[in-house]
Amino acid sequence: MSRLGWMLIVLVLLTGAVCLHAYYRLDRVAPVPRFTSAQEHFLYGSIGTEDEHGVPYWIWLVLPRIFPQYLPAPGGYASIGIMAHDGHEMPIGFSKVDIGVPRVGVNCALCHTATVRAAPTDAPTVYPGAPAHQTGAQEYARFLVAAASDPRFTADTILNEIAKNVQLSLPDRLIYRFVLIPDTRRALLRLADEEPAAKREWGRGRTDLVSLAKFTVLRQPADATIGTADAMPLWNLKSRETNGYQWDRSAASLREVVRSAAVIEGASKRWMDIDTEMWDRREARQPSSLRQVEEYLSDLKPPKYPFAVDSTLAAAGATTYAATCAQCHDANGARASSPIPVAEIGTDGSRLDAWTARSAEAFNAFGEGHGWKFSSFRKPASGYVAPPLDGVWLNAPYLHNGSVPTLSDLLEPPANRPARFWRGYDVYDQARVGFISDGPDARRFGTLFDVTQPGNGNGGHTYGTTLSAEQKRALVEYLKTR
Amino acid sequence: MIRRALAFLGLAVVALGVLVGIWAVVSITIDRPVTYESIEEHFKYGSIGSEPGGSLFAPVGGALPPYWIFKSLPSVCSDKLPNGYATFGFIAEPGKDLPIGVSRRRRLGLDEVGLNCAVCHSGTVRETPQSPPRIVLGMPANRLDLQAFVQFVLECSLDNRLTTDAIKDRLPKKGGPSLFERALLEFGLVDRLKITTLNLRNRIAPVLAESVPKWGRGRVDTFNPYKSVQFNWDLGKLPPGELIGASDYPSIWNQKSREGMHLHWDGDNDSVDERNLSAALGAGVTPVTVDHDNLQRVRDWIWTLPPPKYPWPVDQAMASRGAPLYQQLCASCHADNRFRDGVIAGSRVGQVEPLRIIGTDPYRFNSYTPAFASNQYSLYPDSPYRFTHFRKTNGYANHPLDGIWLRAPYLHNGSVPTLRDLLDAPESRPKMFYRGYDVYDQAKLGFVSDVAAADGQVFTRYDTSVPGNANTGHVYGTTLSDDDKRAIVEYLKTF
Repeated sequence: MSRLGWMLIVLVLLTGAVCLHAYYRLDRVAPVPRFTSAQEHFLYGSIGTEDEHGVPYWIWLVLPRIFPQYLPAPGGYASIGIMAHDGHEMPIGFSKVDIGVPRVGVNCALCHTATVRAAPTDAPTVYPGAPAHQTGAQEYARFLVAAASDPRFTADTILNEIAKNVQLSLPDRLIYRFVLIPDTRRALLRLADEEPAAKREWGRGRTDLVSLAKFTVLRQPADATIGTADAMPLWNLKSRETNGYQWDRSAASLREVVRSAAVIEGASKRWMDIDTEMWDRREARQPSSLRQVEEYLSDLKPPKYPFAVDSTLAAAGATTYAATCAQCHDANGARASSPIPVAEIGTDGSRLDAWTARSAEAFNAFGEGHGWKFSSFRKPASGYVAPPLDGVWLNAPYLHNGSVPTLSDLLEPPANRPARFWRGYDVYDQARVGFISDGPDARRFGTLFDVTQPGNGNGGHTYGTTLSAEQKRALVEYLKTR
Repeated sequence: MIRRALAFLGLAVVALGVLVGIWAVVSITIDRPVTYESIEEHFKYGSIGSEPGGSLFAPVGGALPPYWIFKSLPSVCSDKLPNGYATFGFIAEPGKDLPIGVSRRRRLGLDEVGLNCAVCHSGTVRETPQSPPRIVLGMPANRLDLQAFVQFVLECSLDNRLTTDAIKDRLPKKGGPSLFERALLEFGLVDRLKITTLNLRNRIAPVLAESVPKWGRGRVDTFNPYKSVQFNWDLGKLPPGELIGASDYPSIWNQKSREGMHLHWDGDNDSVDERNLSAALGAGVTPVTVDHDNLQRVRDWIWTLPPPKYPWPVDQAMASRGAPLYQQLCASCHADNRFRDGVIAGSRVGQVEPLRIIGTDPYRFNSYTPAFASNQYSLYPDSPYRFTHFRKTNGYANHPLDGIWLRAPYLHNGSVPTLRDLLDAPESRPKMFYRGYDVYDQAKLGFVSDVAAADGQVFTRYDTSVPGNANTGHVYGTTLSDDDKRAIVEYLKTF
């Protein structure tokens, strides 16, 4: 063979090797890590958000060490309530999957797992399924954007920091230097442009999923609405299908709620297609991840109140509950399955206004041509659902926008409820039933909640506010047992 | 003719260039610790990988400057250190080039030095001020003032008197650094040292600040430097209380029987191996520069290293009178003198005692936070060594008392000088004493603690009213008669 021929063959082989390596490192979707239990899968499993929005693991690991100034306190991601527990590598709500290189995404547990401590010196107890009152989802996004906006977000700085943790191979270092680090930076900066919702303060434990759905997923033109709300507790979900999901009952299918949450959190269409394809193939090497989540949530039971309960007092409170609350909040209550009009309930109306018939229509059309296309989203009547109060001790702060820190405060007339308090501190207030929301530690660990800000109104839901002090105490005691 | 000569010259230049290149690459890539046949020598002087490594341009890990600079610091900054490194309580053995606990290794083309396990876990003991010190490997470094040492190395490295010329003047005529090292020295080694030192000093400055009580001899704050060195936390923003965490070095013998117990003073880890790797980080290793094989040698040795027996007479009659008292008051938490043989008598041995029950000083406990544990789980990432055992506990752990006579002063913060003092009510325990002398007090079981200075060493004045230094709590046995207390102390000599 001629010399040219040999050179061509070598060139083709070399190019092939380089392309193969690049594919392997940049685009190959590796099987999702398997977990020992459905709970572990919920806490650390993937819902597909790594594919398009995943941050390469090594970059993600070192960013808090390079840019601690963009976090509110020392502690890395833990300073915004994003914590690893019990020896797990990833914080709760974070998944690590190979899309080429290991990448980090978020999952349902980010907003749906709470931590609770009895005393400041305790280790936190983890409650999967409870609203993640301690998590700063928006602070996390803002941290990433701030880091990407910093001139020190360079291949040199990041690779030097990574080198303290792991010895990357030379090809990997090149891929990080010339592809992954610049790409990550661009993607994070795009994130800053994409999110009008990010301009408003969510604070700990709240998200504006409505805005994310409308503006980020559906790319609708920005409007002035505010959809910020607390995450909902995920107890006994299957039994609630008839009543609908979300604060405004805008979803009617648990499967679609799980799938839509994945889409809103950033799952790619290609990943959704794979997951849907795998839905009924239970024996597959990689069964559907979202199906595991749905099944886990279908009949998750609320954890019992872990502190002391005065059972005599609670028994007295049961009567008050039956007379004052059960009609709307009890599963068998007369109004349990119908929304309470906002004119009647009087709570902040922003969340209700944010989701429109047009949003529902567009969202149902979003997956056109895909197996997971939504059909059950709707714009329901103009009111909020009265959610069942199972595990209500873990739902603090209260009301859909989390504007009232404790159950005791909720039984006060709106004018007497705290106007400024701090969300995110996970030490429990057993006297008032909720989390401690003021004082030096709450201020240090939490974010300020100001009820005068748009969407944050703490008015309305005045039921029980005229009870006697003794009746209120009894009612609160009874609610601990729910 | 001329063309041929030029061609030869060109070839020679290229060949020389290639040779120099090979020489540089070989010099930089060599990673070779000084090795020791005997395990004791390896423990004292062997490298666990705490010397800077990684890449020549951005080395990672390490806390000490290269060997030849390290050797010259005491002379360059002689005003700060008239008596050399011995001032800090390092143990120097005759005929040895470096003190115990300092290792030597060729890395990145340099002779580097690092710290190893022995620096904090070797001590000395003497019967009288006249007797020669006996070196005991594995006991707490009762004389070492690590903080003062670190502070000296940082300050002198940044001192204007430390220049390339100052180092070259102090190099020996024969047996000095290699040609490659001399080249590095000529081309900016000292400048780079100053930059890395400045970076390290800025990170840990809040721990060294005047507002934080000094560790003093025999103590270290393990986790606060770790928060900044490993994770770059801004220590200045931590609540002041969390920056106080100084506690005694533990003994490291007889580890096999401790596997599964809650280790560290607050019991935050129940894996001996993980605890070892964590301690190695404190000595300056990183997940990429640690020498697992050499560390494993140390680990295998301390796994069954026996605690040293009490070398002086024991009043057997009194000791056997103390034994039942001990069984009644102490054994359930601390096991008895058979622990040295692996017998764990006592249901709470190695368990954590809640702080509100044990009542000892809270600072060390508070300095270890859930957020810190969360960060630790990402150490040694992507390897079988990744940390998974750390937990925030609710108090301090009960430790077995093997070789307890050598583990004075007592309690986690070393706030009670002798075992006899520990059996007195907190308000009757010494409020001020000195730490760092190695002469033994056989009557009270502990080191002599009323001597302020001796043999050119100034000891640490320990004031129990300083935050983190409280001598409260652990009131077990404090209501016994004096005779009973003496009997228990006598029995403890048999541990």
